[in-house]
Amino acid sequence: MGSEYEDLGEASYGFFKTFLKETAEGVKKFFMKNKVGFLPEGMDYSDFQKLKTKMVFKQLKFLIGKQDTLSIILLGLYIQGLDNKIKSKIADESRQRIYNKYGTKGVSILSLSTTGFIEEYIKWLSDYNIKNNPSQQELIDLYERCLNDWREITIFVQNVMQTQTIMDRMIGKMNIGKEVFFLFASKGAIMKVEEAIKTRFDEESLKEYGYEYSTDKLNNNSEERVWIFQKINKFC
Amino acid sequence: MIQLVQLDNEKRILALQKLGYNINDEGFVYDEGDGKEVICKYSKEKVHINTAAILPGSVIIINATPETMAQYFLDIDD
Repeated sequence: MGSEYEDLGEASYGFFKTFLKETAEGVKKFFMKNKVGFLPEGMDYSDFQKLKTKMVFKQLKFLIGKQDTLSIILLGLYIQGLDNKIKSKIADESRQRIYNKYGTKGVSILSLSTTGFIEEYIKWLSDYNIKNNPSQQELIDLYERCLNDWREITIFVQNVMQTQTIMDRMIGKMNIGKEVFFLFASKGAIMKVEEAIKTRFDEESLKEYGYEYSTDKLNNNSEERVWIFQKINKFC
Repeated sequence: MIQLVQLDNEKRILALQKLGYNINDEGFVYDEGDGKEVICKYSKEKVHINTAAILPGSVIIINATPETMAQYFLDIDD
C-alpha cells in the first residue's frame, strides 16, 4: 500500500479503494453519494468549481440565463488563472477546438474572457440592465449582438499610437453609429487616451454626437483601464 | 464540491471495469454490455483511456479537456 498511498494521497486513495470494494449495484451510488470523479493523472480541473462561484460569472448567468456561450466564458476564466508557463499552450489548443465547434464568434468570446475584458463587459451589461430594465430576451439579444460585433466595437490603444489616431478611431465608431464601443489601454497608453478624449470632446460636443462615456480600472489594476462610450438610450 | 481524484490509466481501467466498461486494442472505452464504443457527450468523439474521466452525475464518461470540463461543470450547476 505504501507507494500507492503516497502517490494518491490519503483521501484519494480511500475513495479509490472504497470504490473498488463496492458491489455492482453500489458503484453508481458511490459517485453520487461521495461526489467523487476520476481524472487522468496530471489533469487538475478543480478550479472550475471555484470559478463558477465567481461573482462576475454568477452575475452574467443571472442576466442571460443558461446560454451556450457561458461554457466558453468559464473556460476563458479558467485559462486566465493558469500559470504563465502553460497558459499559452492550453489557450492555443482550446482556441483551435473552440473554433472547430463555434467558429470565429467562439474564439472572440474566448479571447474576451481569457484576457479579463469580460468582467468590464458584464459590468456594463449589468448597468445597462439596471438603467433600461429590458426583458431577459432583449438583454440576451444585446449580449449576443455585442459579442458578434466585438472586433468592431473595441479599440486596443497601444503606447505608440498618436493622439490624433486615437481621436480618429473614436470618431470613426461614432460616425458609423456604433451603439457602444470600448477602448482598452494600459500603462503609458492610458494618458494618451485621456489626452485624446480631453482634446477632442467636452461634455457638450460629446452630447452632440449622441454619446456618453464612463471609465474604470480593468482587472482591478490601476495600470489597465477601459472607457465605454455608449450611445445615449440605445441598444448596440 | 466534487472531489476529483487523479488516477493513472491502470487504475481508471479498473474503475471502468467495475462500471461495466472496458478498453479495446486501440485504447478506446466501450460498454461491455452492448460492445459499443463510448462517445463523449461534449466533444462527440470516442473516449480514449488517456483522456477518459469518470464523473459523478449519472456516471458520465467523457474525454477530459478544459472545454469538456467547462461544459460538465456548467451542466451540473443546477
